[in-house]
Amino acid sequence: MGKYSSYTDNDLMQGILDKDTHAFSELYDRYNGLLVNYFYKMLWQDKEKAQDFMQDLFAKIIEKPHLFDLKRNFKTWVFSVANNMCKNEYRKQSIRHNTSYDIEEGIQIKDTAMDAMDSLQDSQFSEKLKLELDQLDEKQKSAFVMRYFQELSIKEIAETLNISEGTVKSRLFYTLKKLTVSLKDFAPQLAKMILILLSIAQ
Amino acid sequence: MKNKHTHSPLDFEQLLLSKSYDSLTSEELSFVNQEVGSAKEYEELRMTLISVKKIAQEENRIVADLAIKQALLNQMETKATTLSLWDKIGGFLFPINTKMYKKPGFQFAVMGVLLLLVVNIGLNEFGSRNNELAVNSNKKVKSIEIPEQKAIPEKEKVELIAEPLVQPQETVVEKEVFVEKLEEDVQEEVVILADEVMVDELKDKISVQNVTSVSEAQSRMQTDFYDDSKRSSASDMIVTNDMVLKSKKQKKSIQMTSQSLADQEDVIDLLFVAL
Repeated sequence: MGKYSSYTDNDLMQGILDKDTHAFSELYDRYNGLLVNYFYKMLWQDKEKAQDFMQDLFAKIIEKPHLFDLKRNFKTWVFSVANNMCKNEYRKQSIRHNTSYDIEEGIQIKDTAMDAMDSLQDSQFSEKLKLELDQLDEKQKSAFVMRYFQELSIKEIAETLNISEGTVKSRLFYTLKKLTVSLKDFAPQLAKMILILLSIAQ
Repeated sequence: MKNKHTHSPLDFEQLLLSKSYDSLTSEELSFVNQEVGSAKEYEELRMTLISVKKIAQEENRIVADLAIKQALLNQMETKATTLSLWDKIGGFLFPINTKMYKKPGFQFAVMGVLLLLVVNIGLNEFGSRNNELAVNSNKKVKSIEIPEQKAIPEKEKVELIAEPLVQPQETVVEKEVFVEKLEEDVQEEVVILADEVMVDELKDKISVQNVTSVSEAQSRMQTDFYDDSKRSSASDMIVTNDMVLKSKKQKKSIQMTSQSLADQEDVIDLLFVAL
C-alpha cells in the first residue's frame, strides 16, 4: 500500500483502469477532503448533499475511468467534473425555485439570512461570507472557491473551467470587489485584528 | 477596461496581501489607481481579501464519512471481479492508453482487410480468365446460329427450294438378303409417308392443286415463280422456304429412325450368327 503514495494521480488512474482497488483507495484519500469541501462550499453548505455528490463523483470514476484522458491533469479534470455537477444542481434548483412551494422556501431562507445579518459581529464574518458566496453568480463563485478555499493556482482554475488565465484573474478581482461592498461592515474589523496580530507576531 | 488588466490581477492580489496603500511604489500606485478609485477602496479590498484568506484557512473543514469510502471500495471490488468475457476480450484487443497502431484489434483488422484484398484480387484474376473463355464460346455459338436463322437472300431461298428434298440415302453395307429387303421396304415406306406429309402442307401453303409428290410441287412452284401472273408474294415464298427446311429436318429424323432400325437388324444378325 505504501508504494501507492509515491504514485502520481495519473499513475493511480491507470491502476483504476486496471481494476486496482488499492490505487482507487489512494486516490480517494488524496481527493475526498478537497472535493467534499468544494461541494460543501458550492452547494449551500449542505454537508449531506456534499457527501452525496462526492460519492457520486468517485462512483463515476469507478464505472467510467476511461473518460479520463491520461494526458490531462487529474486535479483539474476532477474539479471540472465537480463543477459541472454543481452547475447541474444549480439548474435543478432554479427549476424548483420557480414552483410556489420553493418560492416560499426561498423567502424563508432570505428571512434567515436577514436575521443572521442583524446578529452578525466580527466573529460571524464567516457566516456572512457563506451567505454572500451563495448569492454570487456560479462562474464567479466557482473561481473564488477554487482559488481561496481549495487553493488551486490560477493556471489550474483556468484548466478546470476551460477559460484563459486572464479571465480567471478578472473574475477573481470583480468577485472580491463585489464581496467587499457587501462585507465592508465586517471585514475591516476582522482584517484589522488580523493585521494587529500579524504585526505583534513579527 | 481591457487595458486595465494588462497588469495582471494576480499581481494586484499580491499587492493587496502584502502592501498597504501608503507603502506602494509610484509604479504600483499608477497600476492600482487604474483598478481602484481611491486609497479607501484599496484598503477595503485589502481587508476583505485578508479576512477571506484567514477564514478559509481556519475554517473547520468537513470530513466525509468512512462508510462512503467502504461503499466505494466494495463497488470497485465488485467491478473488478465481475469483469465479463467481452470486457476481457475488448481489453485485450483494444487496450486503453496505447497508440492505435499498437492495439491488437486494429492490427487484426488491418490483416483481415489485407487478406480480403488479396483474396479478392486473386478471385478477380481467375474470374477474368474464365470470362474470356466464356465470351469466346458465346461468340462461336452466335456466329453459327445467326446466319442460319436470318438474312437469307431471296435468291438463295429460291435455290434452296430448287434443291431436291430427298437426299441420297446412306450406303448400307451389304448384308443378308432378308435384311436388305426389310430395310428397303422400311425406307420406301418412310419416304412415301414423308412425301405425303409434305404434299399436304405445300397444298395448304401455296395452293398447289393436283400434285402427288414433293418434286412435282417444287417444279410447279418454280414455273409459277418465273411466271409473273402466278408469282406468289414474297412472304409466301419465305413461308415455303421454311416449309422446305422443315421437311428436310423431318426427313433427317426419319433417316435417324431407319438408322435405328438398321441397328436393330444388326442385333438380329448377331442372333442369327449365334443360332
